[in-house]
Amino acid sequence: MHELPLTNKILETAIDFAEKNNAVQIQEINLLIGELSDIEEHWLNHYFKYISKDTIAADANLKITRVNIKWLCLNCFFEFRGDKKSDKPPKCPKCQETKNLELINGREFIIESIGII
Amino acid sequence: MSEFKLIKVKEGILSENDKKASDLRQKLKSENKYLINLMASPGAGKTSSILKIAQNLNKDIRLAVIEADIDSSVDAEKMAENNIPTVQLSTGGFCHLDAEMVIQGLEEVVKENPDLIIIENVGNLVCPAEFDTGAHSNIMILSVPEGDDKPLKYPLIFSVCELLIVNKTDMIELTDFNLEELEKRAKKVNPKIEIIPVSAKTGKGFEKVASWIEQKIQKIRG
Repeated sequence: MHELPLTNKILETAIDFAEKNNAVQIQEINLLIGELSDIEEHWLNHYFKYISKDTIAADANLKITRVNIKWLCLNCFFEFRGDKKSDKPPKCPKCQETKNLELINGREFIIESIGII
Repeated sequence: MSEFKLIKVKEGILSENDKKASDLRQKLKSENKYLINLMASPGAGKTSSILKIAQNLNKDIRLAVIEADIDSSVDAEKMAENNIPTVQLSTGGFCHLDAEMVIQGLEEVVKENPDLIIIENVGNLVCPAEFDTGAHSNIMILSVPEGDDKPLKYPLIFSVCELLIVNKTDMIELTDFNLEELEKRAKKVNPKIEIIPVSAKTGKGFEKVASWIEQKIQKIRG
């Protein structure tokens, strides 16, 4: 639902970095998006096509890599993957802690890199 | 012919907002002001819950409210009737508030020198969860008629909230809403989330919400 302002931000940041690197064209934008984010890739692409027209990012390919959920156990400092589809609460496989857990991956929304010429 | 180059960017798309939000949080803490971001679906009972919280809070705590509405001032009028200083932000179609909009809203309400400011975010379980408003605590309300399956459908909002208020429990008998199931599902995405069942209609449970907030205010004052 808020894909449009976010897409604007992606375009702005990509053009900013491209210009600093004297690019004539942006060919790809690589994004890292956490599994917990509700961003709809379809709309991201749709809006991007629309707002990038007449810029050096027109026709750039948005490549999205989803980041898995990862928990940090604050009891024994073990890191483990979460499963979005499981209906069981997370539990540290090492010390069985179920409460003192911190989400360290899964909420990302990062422009990792851009491919330019 | 130019060669293809891959440039590292490593920039959070929301980093500008995150920075503003974190600065705001610090600033308010230094002024002993506690900011709460209240999120829920339309009709979950945000406005009536804020009124109940106000009634149950220790009388020494000065409360102010920032109302975010797409295009109306109905909620702000209700607050004014109850003598709660309120500023109405018109989000003009925006689905969420960000730190910048909150900063604008605060300019108005800080004139009343409040100890506690509650943001009534736009009614929506998706977008508000993505944007840090600068609040010290995120609280959400889920009402019984919405169903106990919401943590499965909107995991992000449950993962960013410290407190989950379950409203309209006066009508729980009429539905197949299961509080235990809800708790299990909410804790799956956020093991630390606290849950308080309430009814804004009868007022039940709001003394617990008020004391939860009072403890937070005590903490920020150190």
